[in-house]
Amino acid sequence: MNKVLEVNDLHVSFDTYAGEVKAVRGVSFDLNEGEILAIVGESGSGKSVTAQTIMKLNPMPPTRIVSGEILLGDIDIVKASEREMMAIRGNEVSMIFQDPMTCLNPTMQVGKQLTEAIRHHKKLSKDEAYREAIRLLNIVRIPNSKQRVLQYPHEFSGGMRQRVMIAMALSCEPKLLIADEPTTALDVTIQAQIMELLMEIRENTNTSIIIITHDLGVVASIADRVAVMYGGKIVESGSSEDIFYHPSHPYTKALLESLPKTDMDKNKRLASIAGTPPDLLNPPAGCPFAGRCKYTMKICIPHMPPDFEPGKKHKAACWLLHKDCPDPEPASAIGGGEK
Amino acid sequence: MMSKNSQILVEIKDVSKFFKVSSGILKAVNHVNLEIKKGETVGLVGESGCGKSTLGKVIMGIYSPTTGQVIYHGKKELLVKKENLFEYAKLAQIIFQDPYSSLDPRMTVGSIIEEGMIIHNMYNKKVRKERVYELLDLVGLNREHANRYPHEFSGGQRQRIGIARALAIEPEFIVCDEPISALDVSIQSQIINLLKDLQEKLGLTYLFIAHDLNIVKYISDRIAVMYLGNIVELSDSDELYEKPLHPYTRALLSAVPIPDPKKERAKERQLLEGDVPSPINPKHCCPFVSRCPHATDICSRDFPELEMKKGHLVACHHADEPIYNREIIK
Repeated sequence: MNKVLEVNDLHVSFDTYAGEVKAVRGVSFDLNEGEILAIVGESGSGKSVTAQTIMKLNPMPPTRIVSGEILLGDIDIVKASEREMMAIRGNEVSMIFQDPMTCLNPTMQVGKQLTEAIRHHKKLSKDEAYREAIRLLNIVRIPNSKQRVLQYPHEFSGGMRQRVMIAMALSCEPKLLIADEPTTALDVTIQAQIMELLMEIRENTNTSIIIITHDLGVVASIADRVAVMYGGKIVESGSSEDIFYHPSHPYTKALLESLPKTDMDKNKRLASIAGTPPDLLNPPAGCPFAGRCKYTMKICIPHMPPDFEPGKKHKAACWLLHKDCPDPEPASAIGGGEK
Repeated sequence: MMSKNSQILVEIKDVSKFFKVSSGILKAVNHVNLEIKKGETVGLVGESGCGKSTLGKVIMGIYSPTTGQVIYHGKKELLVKKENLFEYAKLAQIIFQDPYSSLDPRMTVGSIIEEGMIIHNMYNKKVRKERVYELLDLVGLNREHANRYPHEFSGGQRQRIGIARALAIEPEFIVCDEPISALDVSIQSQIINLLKDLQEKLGLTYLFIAHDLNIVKYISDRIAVMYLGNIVELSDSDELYEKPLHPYTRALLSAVPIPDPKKERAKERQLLEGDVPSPINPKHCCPFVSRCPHATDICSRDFPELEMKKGHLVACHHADEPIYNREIIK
């Protein structure tokens, strides 16, 4: 399979008055053609910054790509000029944002905004663009597309606006679609519709998709591979089966345990992770999760664990996986960590 | 948890809240009946715009109802007159969704928590200080936090401050309006555990408004499902999940993604077409008719009342018919 994107040891910082916020601290991953990768993490884990850096959407300064490379085909995005980026954005990589209410231009007809990118990249005539807009609205299943292209965003509901955003993102047939929390602002029944649509798009066009989310349910329903981010680092990555059925990093395990299951006993307490995520102004030298982890060892605090491979293509950065590490608890106890 | 057959604490009787808008009347809450017993947790779920938060605000006396009344402790007058509302506020409190905008940034945490006690003339200054410390302990914060300002805290900690403030005047009933939806997953379970512990310790009654169905099932004894201003189904929470009767409840439950890839991908999904219709000038028919896969003539003619069918309350003309079988045949 062809690699669409390869990110190597990416570091991104924000220069603020309080100091340098190290939002992304050495992230590496790759993405194959037609693959859906989910990046999960809590707020402040660096997942959105990683995604936005792929399109260089963050204003620089205060954002600074400290080091690393982002390879999109032969182009290294880190080194690309703004002019080169303009040819890439919308054409080869496009993005769907969280809030469809604020991301559309309220003063511009939907059909017009929809084809703005394609008119820029492919130089279509007005008439062709109009027909193209109708075709795109049909793809994302908006009924009455002929009338709809002439309407304004406020005449659309939240779910419909997200569909318009998706149509817009697809207009130039990008190789890579980045969806940053595409369903967080939507209701569950609408969320289900949008997820279905994204799966369909992958099926029909073989577009690679990166989906950024904090909802593990969404991940389970759509992702082929998952990267779990915490404190600016990817702490575990692997196939969706690896992550959900054989989680190896204590953070992933704790996260999965803290979700209420539909079949769980009500008198049992929810497993929870004590404490709060680390402050990225002064990120810890060692494992970012050490402060909240049940199994913290001496080594965890000064030294960041390297990636261990508990399975094929399954990586986790945790000292517990070191071959010389004594078993902290019988394996079964790690699985069921509740009191 | 307290015994289930105890007295009724809050009785919501035929409550509506209509708003006049330029294009007609927006029926946010449409003739809703609900009883909340002492010591229980009632979950109120539905999508945005279904009227769940409006109902919560009517129950809190923040909005006055257009029709009907909220009867607290059998006392009708509590929520009618303004001076009684003050008395009511001491019994019922609310925890808001957004812990960022619901705390005054210029007040210290201690004074935020203390304010309610001052207003309600509770205790003297010394005892109040002591109470603030107690409350901070109770919600899992430190005493030193009393002198800090809200911006120094994370979302989860702020929500704890909001809870401490609600508890300060010793209420017996708390409306939790989406208390965890602004929080991260790992913090959500901390707050849910805290709310459950407090209920056990203090014998509180909760109305828990949320859109996350898994959480609602976990915390609630009974669940009311709202759609377009109406309660369409009301039942014990386990039963609602095992035997949902209303087609909307079933669609809602099947839309919630399960964090388990094999189950999630094997699941038979009932995708709803379209969006929630506008609550402005609704027709007198089943509110769900435009999206319902089983709708027939009667659904667009008659408004279904909330009735006992197959063991619990549901507002659907076809709930006691074997629609499940019809699906299988198709």
